[in-house]
Amino acid sequence: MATSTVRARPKAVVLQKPGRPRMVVYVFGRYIRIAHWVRNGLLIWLVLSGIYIGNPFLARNLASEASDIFIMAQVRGWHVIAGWILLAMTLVRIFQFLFIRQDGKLGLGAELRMAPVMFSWRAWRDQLAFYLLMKRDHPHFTYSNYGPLQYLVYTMLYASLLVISVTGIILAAPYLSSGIAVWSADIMRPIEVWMGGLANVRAVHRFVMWFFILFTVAHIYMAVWNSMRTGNLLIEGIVSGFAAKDDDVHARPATDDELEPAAKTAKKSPTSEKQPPKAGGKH
Amino acid sequence: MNRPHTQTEPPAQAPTQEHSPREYYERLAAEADAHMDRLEAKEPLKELTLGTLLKRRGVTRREFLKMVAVTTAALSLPSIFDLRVARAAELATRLPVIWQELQSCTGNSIALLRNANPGVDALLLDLISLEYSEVLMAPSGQAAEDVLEAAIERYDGQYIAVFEGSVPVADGGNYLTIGPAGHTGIEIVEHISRHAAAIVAAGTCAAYGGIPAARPNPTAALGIADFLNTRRINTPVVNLPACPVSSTNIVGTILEYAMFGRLPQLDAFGRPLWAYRDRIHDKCERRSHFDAGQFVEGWNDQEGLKRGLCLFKVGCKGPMAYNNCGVVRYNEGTSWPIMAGHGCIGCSEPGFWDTMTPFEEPLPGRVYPLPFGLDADADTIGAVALGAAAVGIAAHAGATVVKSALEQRQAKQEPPKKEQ
Repeated sequence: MATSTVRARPKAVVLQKPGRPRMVVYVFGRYIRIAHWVRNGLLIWLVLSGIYIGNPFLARNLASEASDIFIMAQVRGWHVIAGWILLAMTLVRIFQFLFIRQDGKLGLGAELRMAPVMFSWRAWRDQLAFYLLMKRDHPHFTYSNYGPLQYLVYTMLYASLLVISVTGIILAAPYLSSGIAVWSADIMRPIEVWMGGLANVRAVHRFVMWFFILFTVAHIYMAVWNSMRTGNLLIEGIVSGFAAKDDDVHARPATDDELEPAAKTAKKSPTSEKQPPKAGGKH
Repeated sequence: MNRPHTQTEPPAQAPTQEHSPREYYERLAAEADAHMDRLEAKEPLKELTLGTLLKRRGVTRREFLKMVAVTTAALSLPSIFDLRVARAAELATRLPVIWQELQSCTGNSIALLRNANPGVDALLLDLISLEYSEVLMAPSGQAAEDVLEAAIERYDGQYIAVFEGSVPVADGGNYLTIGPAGHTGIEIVEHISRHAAAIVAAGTCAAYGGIPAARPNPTAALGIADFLNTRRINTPVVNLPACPVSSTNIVGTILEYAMFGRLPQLDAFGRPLWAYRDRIHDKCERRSHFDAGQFVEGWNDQEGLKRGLCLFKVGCKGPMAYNNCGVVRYNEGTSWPIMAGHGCIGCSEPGFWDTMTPFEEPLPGRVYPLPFGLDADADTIGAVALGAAAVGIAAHAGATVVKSALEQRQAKQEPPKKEQ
């Protein structure tokens, strides 16, 4: 998940292995990182509580009167609240995707401009060859922070977030008498009719949940694999914000400049001039 | 899936919600009075009057007024309408009705007729001018056909057509033929609908296709509204789904038509809002156990069943189904499924059967048709996909380890190249 905001942050050199230094740049901004982990937490809670709502698995409490305990009501309530937070974050992210330019101003979104990567045969070939171990190099796209596979999957992810939010609102509205869920469900009534009633809406909700589970598993594997294969420090990056530069993939002996960053102020290393630090996550 | 083709709007002079409640209902009452005055000016189609019928059936005035009060409340009308509903029942003799069976089990008529008590609701069937009804009428064969034709001709554009059952359209409609001339369901529905003032689709089969339309739907059965859509017939349709529809909802709809001369406001699936505004879940007597997380765990869970816990885990579809069963109940308000200890099966929803099965498991247990006979539920499909992903990941990770080892060996073999 890349940011389009370019932040002038000091570059740093880390030693991954003895004699194998990497130039790292700040690729994940503070909001991106926080949002990533908040989303992660929300999705875990939403899946667990969603499975409970679909088929309650917690043991029942018969010692108390029904009027005193609200297990299902609370699970449902917090499920819906978490869903609204996730939807809000999704909408912010989609707005950023569509309308925030590379320089951080409003306009045609920087990430939207990267869409051609999805339609480039060469990009697909390079990326699939890399993932299928037929090529050692991580493909580098000058016009996109994402590879074509990534771009497609993340687009699907946000589309699925919208679908699960819409179906979730339609399912939540009948429990309420007024409020944002009720009037937005009224607006989305044609969707409910098109799907064929609440039972089908629920089925769609369930299938999209499985998409998220599959996405999470694949996402974690791909990120870890990428990080290990290319040494681009992506896993570290989503915590610290710093990841290895892309054109710096292969291990090579450290230059004097890199081992002594103080010397850089006088004379820039040729590596850093070749590719100015660009925002973007890559894995 | 099911696009209701009619969304009846109240006429221009009808009150809107902008008025205060008092003003709203007063205007509504005035509208009803005006319409019933017009209706009263017409000749009754039957010599039978309400009074003689009540006397003949041994129904007391008290019982009749109870039924009137229940119907008024079911229609979401205040008590100033009690007497107007009674008057509508009296004037129902001026309302011609044609009751046509299609691909159905006649369960809806039977539910209306076979009440344990004298059946105050069933009175209405005697009272309305039922011009044609295969279940009730004495004539058969050509004589019955003649009655139907005469009624359509005489009350052209005035009668209410009640349909029960779905219309099979496969094979030119040959799955359903009725009468000595072997008219198909398609021909019958087209003919009756074109001349009707309004159509009531009684029961889920007539409303959405119901059980005959369940997958794989060999007869290509359609609900009445869907069928009329394909034939571009614009007669307004009220859907009264449920299997069978409760007598209160049929009687209420007919009385409402007698009272106002127009169809009620409908929801997105063509059902009257007064009956289908809330879900079963919202009016359920076991709802507090749902919110408390107290569920019947299975059919051998005697304690849970005896304590009347929520039936969600044994497959209640109440949260997905809209109807007023919990309020009006069946068999003269005696009971209804959840009261009797079985979950709702969602019979009043479009796509009923396919979308609501299995009836005794929560909805994630629904089985989807897949190619090669691999039908499975959503969680199985997801788990298989997850397993496939795990296998793929293991294979890819293994391949990566092998490849990395090969690369490292290669790098060791040719170190001089790198140093150059």
